Amino acid sequence: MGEDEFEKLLRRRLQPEGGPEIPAELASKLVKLREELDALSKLIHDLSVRLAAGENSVRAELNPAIRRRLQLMSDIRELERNAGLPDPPQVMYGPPWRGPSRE
Amino acid sequence: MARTVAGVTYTRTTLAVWEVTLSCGLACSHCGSRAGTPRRNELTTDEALDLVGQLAEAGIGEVALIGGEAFLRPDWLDIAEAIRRAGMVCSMTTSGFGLSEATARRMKQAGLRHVSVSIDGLEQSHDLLRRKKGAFASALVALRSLSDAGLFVGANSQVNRITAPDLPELYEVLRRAGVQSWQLQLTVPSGNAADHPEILLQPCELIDFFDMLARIAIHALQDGMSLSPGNNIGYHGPFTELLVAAGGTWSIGEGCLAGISVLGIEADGTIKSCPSLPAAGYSGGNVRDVKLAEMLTRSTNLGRNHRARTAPLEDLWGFCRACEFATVCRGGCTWTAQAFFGRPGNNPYCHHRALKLAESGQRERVLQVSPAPGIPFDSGTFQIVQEPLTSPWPNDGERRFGRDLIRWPARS
Repeated sequence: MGEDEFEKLLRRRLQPEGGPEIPAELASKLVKLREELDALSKLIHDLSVRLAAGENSVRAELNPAIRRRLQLMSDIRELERNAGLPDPPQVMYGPPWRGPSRE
Repeated sequence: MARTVAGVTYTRTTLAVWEVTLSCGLACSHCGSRAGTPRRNELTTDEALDLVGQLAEAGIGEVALIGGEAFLRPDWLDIAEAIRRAGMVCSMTTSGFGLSEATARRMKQAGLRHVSVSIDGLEQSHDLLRRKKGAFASALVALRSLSDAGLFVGANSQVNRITAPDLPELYEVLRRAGVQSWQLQLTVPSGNAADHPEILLQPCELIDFFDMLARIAIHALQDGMSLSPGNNIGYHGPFTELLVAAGGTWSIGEGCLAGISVLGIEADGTIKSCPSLPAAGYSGGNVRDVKLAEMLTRSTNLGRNHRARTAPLEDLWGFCRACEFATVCRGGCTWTAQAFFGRPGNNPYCHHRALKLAESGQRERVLQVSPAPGIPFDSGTFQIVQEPLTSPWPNDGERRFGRDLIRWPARS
């Protein structure tokens, strides 16, 4: 995710009025973590497809990647919360036309 | 609507699922609300229209109409139109049974945008589960009518021992019928399903189920159909990324969203944190007594999952409390745990959990120890049995689910 896209994301997630300032150092850290997360997600997706196709040997690589991804998500959440950012609305349960996507 | 809990501000609910009537022409084996006849004191038209205004004021973005069967309520299209006029998206979930072409056209005119038709399995399985011969054929006709009327058409399916073997073939049927998205949900022992525990998948059967689902998901990705696992299909197993591919990394489950991004409304105006949960313990009150905005701000029951996010392990117990994903997952679907054990926080219906247990030569199954009393969203009580993988199954004559029963269409 590029800087511009990330800034847009942050802006979208701020409350309409009076949202907190994001210090540059924190924003930079979040960008790096999100880039690592994006790369890891692509890797996990590819490994999942191979596993679903019956390639069981990928499990050894897949399981640690899943753990690392969740750790990254947790770290990002914590940094964002500490910065005063609200949790974004999420959609996991929902009608099927929404798909498993976030708002 | 934003709410601050322990210094953290959370954005509030975006989707309201509204049971506009409990009246229904079917009496499905799995129906959580035991729908059939209307509730005694369903909202009047004026009360329903007032609630529409309250939903808009509360910042709800979408209202999904359900039942019972929503279209059996005479003023339901007036409600739908009011929802659209208030600036919210109006959608609907229906069995499709008896839904005419004319009704489909009126739905479009009223401003409904999306409709999901419940189709659980192939004809034999669907009609058996829905306890109505012809229900499958009727659902397919409804799909076509809705699609012809210009509505976005999806499907949703209950997954249990009756329907699970059908899913690969059902996927092909739905794809050919023009379904654009498909949501799957495990059947849990709520309402009528609590009277039929033999149809429920057992936790240890999830391993074969997820292997099957992953293969279907690959087809869905290739075909451009949105496959959407429901909130009780998870969590953090090897296929999670694949199953939520359309939503991206952050759509991976971070715990139950009841009361956070979803609300349930019963036909008499009772507001719940999730449409599937019972009112007891999960209701914020009734809109006849309290304004919705006030409930959202003050209700302890509606805020349960907000609190869980600040103290994630407080409500967890059993396997889930010690799980490596506990702080992220928080036990998954509240409804599932509530239905089986009468309280949230320990959910054996988890792919990760089934795999971890299998690695150590163990499996889990659930056993009903007392029946449900027979009211909407009741469950009876269950206990978890953990035993060696090699243990013989109880000689109870129940139909099992396993990879040998799955029917794959030719292309797979």
